[in-house]
Amino acid sequence: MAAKNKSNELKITRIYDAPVKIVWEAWTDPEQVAKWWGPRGFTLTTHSKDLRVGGTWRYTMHGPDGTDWPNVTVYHEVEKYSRLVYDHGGNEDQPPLFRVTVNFTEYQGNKTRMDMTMTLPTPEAAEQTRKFIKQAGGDSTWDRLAEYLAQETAGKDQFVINRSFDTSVETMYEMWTHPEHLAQWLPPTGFTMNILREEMRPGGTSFYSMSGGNITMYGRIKYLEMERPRRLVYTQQFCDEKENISRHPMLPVWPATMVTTVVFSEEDPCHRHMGTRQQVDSGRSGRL
Amino acid sequence: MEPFLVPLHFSKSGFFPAVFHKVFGVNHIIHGDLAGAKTAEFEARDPFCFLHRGFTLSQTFAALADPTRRAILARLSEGEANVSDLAKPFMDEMSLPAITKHLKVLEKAGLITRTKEAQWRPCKLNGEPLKTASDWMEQYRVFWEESFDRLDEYLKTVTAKKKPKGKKHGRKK
Repeated sequence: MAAKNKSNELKITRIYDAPVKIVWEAWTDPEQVAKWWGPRGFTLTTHSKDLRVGGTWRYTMHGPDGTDWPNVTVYHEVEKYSRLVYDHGGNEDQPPLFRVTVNFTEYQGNKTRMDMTMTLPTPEAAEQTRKFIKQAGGDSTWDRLAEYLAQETAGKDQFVINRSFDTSVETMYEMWTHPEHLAQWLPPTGFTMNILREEMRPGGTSFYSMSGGNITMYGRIKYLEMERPRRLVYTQQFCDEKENISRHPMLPVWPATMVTTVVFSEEDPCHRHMGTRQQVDSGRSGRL
Repeated sequence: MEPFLVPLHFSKSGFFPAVFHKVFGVNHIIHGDLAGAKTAEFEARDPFCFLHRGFTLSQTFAALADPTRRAILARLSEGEANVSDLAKPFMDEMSLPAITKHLKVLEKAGLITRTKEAQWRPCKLNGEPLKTASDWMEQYRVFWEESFDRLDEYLKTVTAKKKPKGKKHGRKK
């Protein structure tokens, strides 16, 4: 997320596991945009799209309850496979809500780095928009893009979430790999976590319980990769108290096995914000 | 009609899809009641205005805060059930009246409906059952958001221990 300083800008940087051309097309082709743009739960209809300087993109976002949110985008700069500048949210009767600048650059060969800046009239407006976006789950749109690209390029079912923390990558890695830390924050709200067997090493399988109210859930975490302090890969399964694999006792729609990849990276050297990225393969089991 | 500010804790809710349908369903009704161009105008100006327009949100979230009630909702996501069915998993720890109390909270928050007829009064989930992948993903997002919120808080205590500061820094949020 953006820095805490009094800036009228909000910045987002994401790395996508796809070439710039593919990411650009996902951004600009109305048919593809319809599959990922907007907070989770929203769908989108494009009415017209004229991708050139001075051109507009008119679309309606459909909320999960069926409420429609009309939107107009006006393009100011269009550099194919590289850069977009546009105003978001204006119409005939009102000025735009903010200006967006997006740069797409090649990253580590086959990946894309997306640097996005939203510019608002005042720092106050920026802060308000930042809160709105957080409440509306608006940042999930950039996670959805990652999921869409994974689906398109690799046929993978993924869930992606990014989050920034005000600490070092080393500390973040500790938070994830020490049971006494993990138990403080990982369990679902209202639950406490007990690590019954700790094997937090590559190839090891930890066994834990989570209790809350009348429910005790058991699970296993098997660590596949542990690259201090950058990367963690583990599988997670629900099981019974004897470690027999089972479904999520409260939510049977939950996938039986999930592969989670956690990537810790420095977000902004000035503020030492960290982003962790989760990628979860659902494993396509159960009712999914 | 002025938009009102509601203490919103989307990321604290748990069980998001049911809330989502409920919350947005409620807003939709208000929307209809307000009718008028004013609301429409407001929406056009502020695409997130639904966030500060609602009013029963806290009730809904309070209903979802309890693990027993969440478990009841999870059971109902599989289909209708009557009170005694719903009480079964809790028989050791909870009386039937206690379960009925939980059901009333859920009903009041509009998360479930109960048939008036017959003494069985089967309950069912109000809104779309949580059976699709996107519902699961929304659940999962809420889970991580909540955990990350806790991690954010926890990190403050950890860093405070490591190097005690004179004063705590003002935080966002």
